[in-house]
Amino acid sequence: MLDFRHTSRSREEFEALVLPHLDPLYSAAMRLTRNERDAEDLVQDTCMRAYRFFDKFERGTNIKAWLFKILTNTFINRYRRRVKERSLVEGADRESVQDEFVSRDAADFAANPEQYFFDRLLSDDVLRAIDALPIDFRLVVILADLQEFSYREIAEILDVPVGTVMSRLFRGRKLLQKSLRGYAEGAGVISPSDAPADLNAFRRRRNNG
Amino acid sequence: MDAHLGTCPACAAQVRTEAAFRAALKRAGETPVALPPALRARVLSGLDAEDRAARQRPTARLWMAAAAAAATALVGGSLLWGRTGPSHRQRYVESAALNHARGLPLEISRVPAENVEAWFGGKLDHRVAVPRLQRAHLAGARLLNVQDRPAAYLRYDAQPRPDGAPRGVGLFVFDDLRGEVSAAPFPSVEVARSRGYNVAVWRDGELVYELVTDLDEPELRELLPPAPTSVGAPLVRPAAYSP
Repeated sequence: MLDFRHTSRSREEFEALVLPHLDPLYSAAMRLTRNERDAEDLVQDTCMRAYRFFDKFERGTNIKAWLFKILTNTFINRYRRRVKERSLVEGADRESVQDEFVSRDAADFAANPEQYFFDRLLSDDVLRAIDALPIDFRLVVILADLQEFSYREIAEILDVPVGTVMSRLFRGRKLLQKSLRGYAEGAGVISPSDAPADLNAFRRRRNNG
Repeated sequence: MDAHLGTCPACAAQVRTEAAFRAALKRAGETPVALPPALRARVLSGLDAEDRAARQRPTARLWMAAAAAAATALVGGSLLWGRTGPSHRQRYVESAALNHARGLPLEISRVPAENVEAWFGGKLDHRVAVPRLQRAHLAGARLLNVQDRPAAYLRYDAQPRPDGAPRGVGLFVFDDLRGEVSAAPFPSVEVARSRGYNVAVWRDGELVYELVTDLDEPELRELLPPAPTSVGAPLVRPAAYSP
């Protein structure tokens, strides 16, 4: 059987649809792989795979979401094991992450007199903090907050329920806030004393207010 | 809620903090990341290579159909290939022959092919579909590298002659997404020699197969799966990509 999949017409169409997304693909790949060489390889692999399966792409649907689905699948299948990242979504780690945040962040942030310290953070610091997130949280933060996909699109990209996207995003953002606070303190933007961690005092204030 | 925020400085502060946090994320997302200048060119040349491979596929199949009718042409072709083929591929041939010759113990044996396929699940970056060889049955499997690539190693007991003793056959399956190992797409099968073994090499999609045996080439070819569809489906194929 002759294979006419890659006619010049589909090649042109592919280039027209896909090449404009190289920038966002590469910038997400940088956040996922955390180094330029792997990011380039990941984008290259993603594009080759997309080209091979271009006949599976439904014309008129969201090409960016389709490409990101291939990117994240390729990353998970090929790169994740190599960087030996540990998933925090399952098991006891999940509880410890949540406890630490849910019990402290409201108090810290609400009572923080420098509540706009996020305004002063450099984007590089934010990106570095994102890079340090465990992969399951990093994926949703990259897709939601950096690439601005909707919950539904992310659910389709990652093949998980929308509820899972929302809970991972919630936890991912909480983790980010914590590490950004660390950067902010380290950079002297805020001082640790600005952030009383007395939860009971906070609750009293809230109840009285 | 607005009424509560008006009277509760703590909650109002938290809302403002959240907003500032989201804004910081948004700014970070808008930070341009410089696309490496060579990446676009690399992608385009990858597309060229894909197009070339797609064009060559039918030609290779026709050539093989003709060659299959004339065994002498096949032998000549494989000898030529053995002498002039890229040394890069020859290293994979030698590595497969060497590792097969080590006779390492199998990690899973005496189970149906489906169990072997399931056993490989999660151990390799690609799915392993066990090809059905002719006049041979699966003895077992293990993980075993070819060069530096993790591979599935399937061992079969082959009986090319009804009255002959069973002979061991090793089949390596590894992932070659970028097409770095030159191997013709099945049903084209090229045979090379290394360390006293015949090594048949073919490709199915992103997977490369190397079959190692001490049978001679005609007997080896009788073992091969008969039709294009009988080699396991190529896999690392992304599932349904239609968001």
